[in-house]
Amino acid sequence: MLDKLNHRLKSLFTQSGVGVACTWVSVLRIAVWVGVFMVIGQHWLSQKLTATTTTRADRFFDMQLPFGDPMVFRSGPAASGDMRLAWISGSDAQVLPLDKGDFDLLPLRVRRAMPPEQRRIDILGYVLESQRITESLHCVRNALANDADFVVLSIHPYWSFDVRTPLVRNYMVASAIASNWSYPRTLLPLLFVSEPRDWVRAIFTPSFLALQIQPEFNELLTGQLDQVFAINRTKGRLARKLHEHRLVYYPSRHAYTYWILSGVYERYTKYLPAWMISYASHRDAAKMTNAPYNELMLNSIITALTHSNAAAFLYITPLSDTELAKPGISELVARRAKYLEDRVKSLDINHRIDVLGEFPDTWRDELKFLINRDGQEDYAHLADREHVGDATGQLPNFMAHRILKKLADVRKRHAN
Amino acid sequence: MLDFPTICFFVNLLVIQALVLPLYYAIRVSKWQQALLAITGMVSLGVITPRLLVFYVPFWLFVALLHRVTCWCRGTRIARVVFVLSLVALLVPLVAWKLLPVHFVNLFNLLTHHFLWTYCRPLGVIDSIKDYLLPLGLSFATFRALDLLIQTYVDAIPRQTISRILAYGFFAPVQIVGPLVEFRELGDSGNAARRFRLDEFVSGAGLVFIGLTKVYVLAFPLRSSREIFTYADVNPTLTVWLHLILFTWYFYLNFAGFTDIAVGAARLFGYRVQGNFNRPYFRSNIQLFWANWHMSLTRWAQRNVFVPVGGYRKRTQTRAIFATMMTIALWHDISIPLALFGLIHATALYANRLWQDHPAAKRKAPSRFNTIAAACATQLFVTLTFPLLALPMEAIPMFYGRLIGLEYAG
Repeated sequence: MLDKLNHRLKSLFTQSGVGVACTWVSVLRIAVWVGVFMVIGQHWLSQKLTATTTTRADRFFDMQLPFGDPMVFRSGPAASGDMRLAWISGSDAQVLPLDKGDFDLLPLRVRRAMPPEQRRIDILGYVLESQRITESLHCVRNALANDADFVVLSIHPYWSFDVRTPLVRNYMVASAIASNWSYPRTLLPLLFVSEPRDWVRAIFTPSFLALQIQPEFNELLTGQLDQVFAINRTKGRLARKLHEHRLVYYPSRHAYTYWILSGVYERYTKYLPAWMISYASHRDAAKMTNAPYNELMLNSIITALTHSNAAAFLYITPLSDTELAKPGISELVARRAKYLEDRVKSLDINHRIDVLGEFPDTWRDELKFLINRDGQEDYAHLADREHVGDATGQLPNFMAHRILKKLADVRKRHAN
Repeated sequence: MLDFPTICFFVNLLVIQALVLPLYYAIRVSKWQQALLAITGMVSLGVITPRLLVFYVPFWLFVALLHRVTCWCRGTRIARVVFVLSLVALLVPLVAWKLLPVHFVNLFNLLTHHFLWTYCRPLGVIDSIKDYLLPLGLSFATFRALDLLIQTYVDAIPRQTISRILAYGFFAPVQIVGPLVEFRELGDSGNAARRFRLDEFVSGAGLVFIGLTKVYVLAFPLRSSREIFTYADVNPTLTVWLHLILFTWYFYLNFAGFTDIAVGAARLFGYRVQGNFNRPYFRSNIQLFWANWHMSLTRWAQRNVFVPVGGYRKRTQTRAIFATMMTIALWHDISIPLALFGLIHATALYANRLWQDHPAAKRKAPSRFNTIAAACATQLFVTLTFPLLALPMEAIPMFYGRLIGLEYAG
């Protein structure tokens, strides 16, 4: 049978003049490759796909796979604490250390700030390197599917609202489709922003583990091959030269989504053409409006929380004084904070959702923001500093208080 | 992401084809099939980002206009002037992109997006969440448009309808990578509609499968070899050599895989376009290498540069070889490394031509051992020139220094 098929294929390809013929050997070769990859992948998957408590802290479960792909998460751990708290945020929840060690996390500091008898909390960590509103929705749905009792969600004042930045990873659209099958109102706009490949992925990935973890699998494969064809990736002179070369192209890569919108990447101005700087400087942050797509995603998040039994704390990421001092930014943040607060207050379940648009100045003033290489204060990232110490100040106490209070309110209401 | 992953384009295309093909073969009217081909191509680009359509629809309409103008002017005194101006006009975007990449890419994205945002807000909203992109497929589109115009000028192609030109311009399988197809490859059957043929369909699907295997199974594991261009100075010379050789195979298998997918996808539409690679690394001299590597580009350059410059005349042959190779090299990028690449390969082709004319080369057929040795030498030569395709000028001396064991401190 196979001989017949091979013969047929061979004659077809030989006619084509492309020089490819299907033979027994080629079929065998493909089968061996597939087998090898599946064996490696399955072995590796079994070790990686269940969340286990990390070395970072006891009962802290990193839900992301090592690659940090928010398309697929680890399966939730078995319950071990009194409560399950999901912490969903971008890199603003990372607190950079004084030395070059690993960063601390805001959720861990918040748990430490709680009274000892209330610290038996499992934390499901969704601290993404970059977070946009589509990613947030996906994380919220995953957290709720993992029986989170409480969801803390940081909402970025720029990226969560701006039309040009609803997602940072292209493939998130596939995840958004997959997690919104039963939500036609969210699915419809995704039809317009997606590509056919996203739908293929959304349809097939839930059933095929190998497809779900494809980026992880790629990393694994690259890692294994690196061991065979060892390559030293220490940055030498050549890497620095190439980095300088690429910097010239960097602004054009980011102008659209970052630079023009916020001025965050002003340090790259020397690489930008003058006309573009002029264009960017005429963008007025105060005139930025919320994007319909982002508002829809935000509504989907709130709806998902509404339909669950979980309590939630939504807050807008606090920005540094330097950032707020820029023209139009504080007004922009205030407007977005009001939008978020009004949106939640309009719901009849606002007893379960606590929302904080702007942190009171007393708490925010204590935050120590990262000092960038150009000596400027970073716009949102925190870092412990020498002489001034803890970057988060009283913020963990404040947040711990809000979370526990909301939880107590909800429990009291349930008891009644 | 500035560069769009090619495989995503093809996955999109295959899904669109699965939806379009039943209708395509059901139509049975050539002009409607042509229109459907053009729409399919536009959708394939538009789903990446509508911005691309703002550029490519006027571009191909402009090509159709130039084609008409060239037809009208044929045989008149102004024909030559109109033809040269048309070529220059078509080359402007490509040359601007290659010479001023940052400015052009910024301008390309901002202006096209601004147009959509201003005049078609729904598409503008969709476009605004799409990535900043290179003008995908511009090199291919420009050379296909030039070919059409040149063939029109020399009267090899009669006057065509706009829908046929749009079907050619937006022929999806070869839009962003793949063979540089000629107009005649898509238009040689005149007005006959394409009929579904099972053998063609199976053959096309098989080629797509083989292409995917080349890209995912064979090329993908080798992709980290690209990093040797970044870390050559901190790796031992032997490692640099090993990864450079792996890179040459990655480069070939990846490109050849995408070409197979493109050829297969074209065959699903009932078009037999020519392949792009025919075991180039097993050829025993540089001339045979170029006759079997990216064959559609080589054919293009032979048709439109080598022959017109006088490649078949002894007196002008050298000039034609250099002009052809420089065109092929600079098509990739207008830069000093690519100019060097073109010069080196042109010199090698010239030397090969001299050797072929030498009586010693004609005396007897080479032995099997000599043929294998010559193939290895050709492969080595090609391998040594590939870094010029991947590195900027300032990094090239350092990389080649590492290949001969020179150390670079700190």
